[in-house]
Amino acid sequence: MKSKGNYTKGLISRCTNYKDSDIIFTLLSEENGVQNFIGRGAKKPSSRLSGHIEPINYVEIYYSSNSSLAPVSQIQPINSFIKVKSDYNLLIKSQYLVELSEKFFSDETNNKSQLDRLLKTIDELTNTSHPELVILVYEYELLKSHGFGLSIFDCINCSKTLNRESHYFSINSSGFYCKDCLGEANSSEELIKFSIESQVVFRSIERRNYTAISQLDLDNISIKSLSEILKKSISNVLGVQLKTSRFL
Amino acid sequence: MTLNRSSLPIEIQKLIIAFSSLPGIGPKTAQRLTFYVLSQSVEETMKLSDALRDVKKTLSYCQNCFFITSEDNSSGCNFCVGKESSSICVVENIVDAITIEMSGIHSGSFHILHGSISPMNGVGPENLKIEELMKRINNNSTNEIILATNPTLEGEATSMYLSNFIKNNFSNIKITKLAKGLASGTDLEYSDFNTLSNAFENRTNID
Repeated sequence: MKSKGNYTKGLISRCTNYKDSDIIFTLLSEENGVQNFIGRGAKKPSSRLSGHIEPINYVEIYYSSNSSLAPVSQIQPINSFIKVKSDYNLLIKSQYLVELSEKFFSDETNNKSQLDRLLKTIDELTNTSHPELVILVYEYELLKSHGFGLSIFDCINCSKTLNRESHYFSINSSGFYCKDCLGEANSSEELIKFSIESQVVFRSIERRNYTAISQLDLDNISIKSLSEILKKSISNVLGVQLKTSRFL
Repeated sequence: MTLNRSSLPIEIQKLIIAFSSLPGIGPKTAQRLTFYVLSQSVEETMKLSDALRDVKKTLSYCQNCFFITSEDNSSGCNFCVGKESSSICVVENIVDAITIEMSGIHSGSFHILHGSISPMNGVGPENLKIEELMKRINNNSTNEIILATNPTLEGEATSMYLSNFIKNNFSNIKITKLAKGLASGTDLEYSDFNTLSNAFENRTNID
């Protein structure tokens, strides 16, 4: 008996050429996490799949089998993020976001909210003068939604509310030490000094007060150093360094 | 007694591992190839072995265009000597250069990058022959650079990187790119947004 067709929506994260004209690709799907598919003959110019199977394409996919490498019968593009793909720096940034999301995507579960957030973030890259900030917000929210949120209001050692002054951030413990507890930090812990302004950025992201962030003089706050801290925290959580992070 | 792969002679295990390292060859195919090699005559197997050794021992990359060559000449190889250096066609790999050369469309020289920028696979501009291309442009009277990278995400990224880099370093060089759009024999209905967008952007007048 012919099996019933399946349908899913998702973002293509990576593609690999297979045999003469096939493409194996990974999809960050709404319902089933990270799924692998094969587009038979997709490299042929006359193929109906041709051109659709490309990283950072948001697509609708029809497939017939439930195997680990299901052949795609039809593919319909929803958003190809043309603006992102026509700018080298934005393309690299969006590839970083996709690789990061791929690592956090859970298998066999509904990932719609995470996928929606990713799609919105990629879209936002083209509408902002501070794409680094957009990435920062995404990284922060992603860590938080997976239970690895940073402790930014209270001291990680004594739980005392932090005063409005510079504090040291511990990568290993994902939070700040107050002045009194700094001596308690383990000698092997990586500590980074944080200015008040930098802490305000994190606090505003936490409170989702993006207007407050836009009012800050972002050129004078080192977004790069904030982003470095988040990247180190992400590496700490994942246990691996993302390949795309060195290109940012 | 159960026979598993580790109980096979070490020479066979080594050959299976060697075949498995080839792209598209899994352990099963590697095992099949190994036993096929074993069934062949010594002469046939030596032919394969000699061909493999020779390809690595006698061939190298031309230090000018980075095509394969058996000569040890720093000024160029058979493929690039005698070609116009005013126009350089930049391609991702040797097969692309051969395809364009065989079509007879391009009379200028080639530069083979040996890959494309692919951050997801950890390949950056420093892993390609970009610095060598810049040296070549500097030393020759190059007027035009034709970017003939593949119309994939990686190819496009490489092309964008190169055009920015060349523009910033050589203001008087014309940079062109292969046209993109609908391929012959395709249906408009099944075209993707990128292809359609390119086809519309690069539409031409009908006289």
